[in-house]
Amino acid sequence: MNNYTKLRSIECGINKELTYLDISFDPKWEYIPLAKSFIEDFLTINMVNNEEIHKVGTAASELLENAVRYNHQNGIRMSVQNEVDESMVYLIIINYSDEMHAKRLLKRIKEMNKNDSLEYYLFRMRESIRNKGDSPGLGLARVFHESKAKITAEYNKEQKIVEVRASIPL
Amino acid sequence: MAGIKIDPVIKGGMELKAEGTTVYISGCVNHPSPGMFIEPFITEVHNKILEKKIKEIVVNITDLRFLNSAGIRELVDWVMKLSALEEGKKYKIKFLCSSEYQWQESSMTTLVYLSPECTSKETANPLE
Repeated sequence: MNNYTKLRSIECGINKELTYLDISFDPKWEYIPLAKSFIEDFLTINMVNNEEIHKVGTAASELLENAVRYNHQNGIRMSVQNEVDESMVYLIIINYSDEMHAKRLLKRIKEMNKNDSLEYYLFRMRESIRNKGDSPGLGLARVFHESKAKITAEYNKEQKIVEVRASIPL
Repeated sequence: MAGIKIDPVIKGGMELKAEGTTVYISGCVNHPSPGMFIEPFITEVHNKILEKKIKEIVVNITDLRFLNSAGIRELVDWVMKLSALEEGKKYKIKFLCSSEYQWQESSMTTLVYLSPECTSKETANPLE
């Protein structure tokens, strides 16, 4: 089974009762703005207002940047689900990652979720200057604060697949 | 007061230029390493501001459609560098934003929190 087929076969919790968009692509940086634009058009069709579209678009772009930057093998899958009744959008990003990067990501999300979003974003901004060259973690902090997202992640060690979920209130 | 003039930098989907006491950043920044273009430009702006003893500069981002977190990091770097200056050398940065791009409101508000004594934010075309 090739990497794409494997990614596509993952049960990533898509509730087909909801309006959804599910896309897979090569981990190429140039595809990120295309995916962002595609997601924004999907939300426009589903009558999410302009301000919320920007919020979700920014979150999708930052999460995809992380996925592309730390991709271990080919293949990124992103699913967007719009829950109209609950006024929520769910972003699910699945990609291959080595254990070291995945563990660091899980640790960072755990640390982030213990903090106030603004304080954490400011902390990460200052850290990004102190540790130039290291992964600044600014993208995740931005999604946490600016999109008011609840972020969780899981790592499947056998398949080397990391799944990040962001629930964004509208 | 004499202003500054720096030739435009057009790279990585963005345009950077400085005229008088205004710096313009426009386009769409989603490059993986925008610091390659932004950092040398900002360093030149910062040095010229100090050289000409300018006390306030406007950073006009009203035509900046998107700035990724790597780009935000470059602005953070500038603000922190400014905050670290000795009192007599400090100047003020006013970010001029557009209400058309929602990210500007949230990102620039947070950036101003980093150094409220040296930075401020204004919306050029506030929504009614």
